[in-house]
Amino acid sequence: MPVLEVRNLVKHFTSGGGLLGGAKRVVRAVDDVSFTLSGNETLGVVGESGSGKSTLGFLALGLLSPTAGEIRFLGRPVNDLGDRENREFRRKAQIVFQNPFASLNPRMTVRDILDRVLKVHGLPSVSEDGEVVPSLLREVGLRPEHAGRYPHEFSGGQRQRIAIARALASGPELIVLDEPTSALDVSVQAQVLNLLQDLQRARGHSYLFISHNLAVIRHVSHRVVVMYLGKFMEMAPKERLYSAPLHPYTRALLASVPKPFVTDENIEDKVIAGDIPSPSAPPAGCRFNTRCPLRTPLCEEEEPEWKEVGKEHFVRCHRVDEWV
Amino acid sequence: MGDPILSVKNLTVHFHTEAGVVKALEDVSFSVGQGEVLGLVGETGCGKSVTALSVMRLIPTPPGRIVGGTIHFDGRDVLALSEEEMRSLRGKDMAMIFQDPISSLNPVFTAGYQVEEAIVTHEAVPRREDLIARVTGLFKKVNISDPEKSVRSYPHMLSGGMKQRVMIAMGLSCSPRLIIADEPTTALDVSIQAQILSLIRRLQMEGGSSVLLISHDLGVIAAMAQTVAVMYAGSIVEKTSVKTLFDRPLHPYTRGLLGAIPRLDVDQERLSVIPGTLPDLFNLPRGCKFRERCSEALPLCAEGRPLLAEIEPGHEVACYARA
Ligand SMILES: Nc1ncnc2c1ncn2[C@@H]1O[C@H](COP(=O)(O)OP(=O)(O)OP(=O)(O)O)[C@@H](O)[C@H]1O
Ligand SMILES: Nc1ncnc2c1ncn2[C@@H]1O[C@H](COP(=O)(O)OP(=O)(O)OP(=O)(O)O)[C@@H](O)[C@H]1O
Ligand SMILES: [Mg+2]
Ligand SMILES: [Mg+2]
Repeated sequence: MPVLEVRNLVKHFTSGGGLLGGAKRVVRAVDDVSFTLSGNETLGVVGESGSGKSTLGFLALGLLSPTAGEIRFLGRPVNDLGDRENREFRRKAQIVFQNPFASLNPRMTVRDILDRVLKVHGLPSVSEDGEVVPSLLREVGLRPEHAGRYPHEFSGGQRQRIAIARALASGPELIVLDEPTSALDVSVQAQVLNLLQDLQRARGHSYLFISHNLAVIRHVSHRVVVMYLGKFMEMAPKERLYSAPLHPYTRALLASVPKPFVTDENIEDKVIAGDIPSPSAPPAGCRFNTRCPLRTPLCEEEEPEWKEVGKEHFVRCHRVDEWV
Repeated sequence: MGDPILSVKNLTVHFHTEAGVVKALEDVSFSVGQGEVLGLVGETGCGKSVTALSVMRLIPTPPGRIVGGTIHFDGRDVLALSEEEMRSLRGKDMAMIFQDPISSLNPVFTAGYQVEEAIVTHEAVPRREDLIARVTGLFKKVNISDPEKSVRSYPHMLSGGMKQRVMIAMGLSCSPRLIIADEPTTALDVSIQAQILSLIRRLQMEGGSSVLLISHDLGVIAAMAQTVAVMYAGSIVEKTSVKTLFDRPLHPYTRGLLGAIPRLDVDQERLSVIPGTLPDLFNLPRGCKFRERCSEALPLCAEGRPLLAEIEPGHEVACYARA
């Protein structure tokens, strides 16, 4: 059974109108997306700012309620859980944020932070193989002596380890990682990425890994989905997405990343023209059409379908058949 | 290349704080040739911005102080100039583009007005119509869509990429000979980053300006720079052509950094990791600052600080294990 099944999920945010006046605007932050996530699997979600990545992560954890669509966690619909099931869902689905500085309470020691999670979920702080807190700290590469310290006494990378320990404390099956290394230096990022992979190998949980960094997503994911203005544009197993991308947006995005080695490519040749349209006024038809070098009149009028073009390979593009 | 436009020698900068003295820069030396793009790369806190601010003489004093070294711009001793001479240098001969275009623009003035201001600060005011035409022309040059309308826009009405273009237009308003760009695309999306980088490249080629490009992103450096200086904890540890740096890095820190980056083009089983953490700038260890994290450290490395030395033609490294 998949850990997570998402069907036709939609989330609209409405702003303006009402008492404050102003024109009422609807942002379609997540617009009709579907996917499944299996046990021990990492699905990478990549996209530019405002594409709906964080909103998708919040929806998956039940922290936002969807405008439409369905989410099943371990087979059960999450918007229709009983009390006990709901508590279990909260325990088994966790999140780690980008900013380890803001997400840890500065007045609590590391031990308090972890003890509190155990208590909230009704878990013992002592297990058969000893105390839970020291073993959690060891698992994320910190030392048991660190338990008595406060978050400000740690470096950015160490704080992110504490946030990971907190997510692990309740024995989750799903961890949403929302830009977990974007605030870290590359050498620290490497440590945290290795840790996340080791933990998955040891524990077998799934990750929904959100990042705007295409290289990080390649490194950590089994499958990858590319978002643009609330829509899934392409989803494929990692090898396919990076070696044979089919959507013009995916191709352009991959070409835009400056490579950390010297190439003959010229940065000028890689540019996608134009700005990202406002998410509250996305273009009609295909959302990428205003910037797409391969646009046809149809692309400006009609939204392309989400088509399966190969094994586990989905693309939303009118012209995809021409180059499959 | 002739004489370098910028030449920095043994620059040493301290910050005096309540917690002690931060040794932000120690004996930093480099030069930027005419028309050259020099990339300065390194992790948080290694001193990239302090280097840029020192060249512009914008280090907040106190707490900061340039305690040693020299900076020459076009043969002139920057540290000896009067405040007034410095003001005319900044924005006219040297321009700076910062990471955060949002906080660098004043929210209460239109984008066009702010570029006009940058021009009239350094030139006798031409006729108003000429000024407007010039600003509109600059907006066109940096690919701002609908320039006639955009000059009248307030910063909050522009996207991040557009604001960075306005900053670049401002920086270019007086055809500077040196552009200092401190993480100019770090706050931007990849597709917008590619646009801005190609813009900086085009303007640099057309105008023949030199560029000091600061970034923590080795990809950005590889795409833009001819020469690269790698900084670690306030010192330059390696300096060479961009090609040599990526083909044959010699300093153990540079090698570690290159191995730690996830790659877009190949699968890596595991990222290599530099063990340990950055040294405390309040309390630097004796000897090489990278020694405690280095797998190749020799007894000698605990004795003195290795200085940059040319190990092969055009390739300078500060490492006893390579000497
Ligand atoms: N609570 C909210 N109220 C109104 N609009 C919102 C809210 N949360 C998100 N949005 C809008 O929804 C869209 C998607 O936002 P989201 O934060 O999911 O994007 P993202 O892909 O995570 O971007 P980033 O890379 O910048 O984190 C944006 O246009 C955002 O402004
Ligand atoms: N005004 C200041 N007061 C005290 N210390 C300072 C000040 N400005 C900079 N420093 C210190 O000088 C060192 C170098 O800082 P700098 O801003 O140059 O780093 P950087 O390489 O630009 O890092 P980043 O990649 O984070 O921008 C840091 O340790 C920093 O804390
Ligand atoms: Mg987000
Ligand atoms: Mg800086």
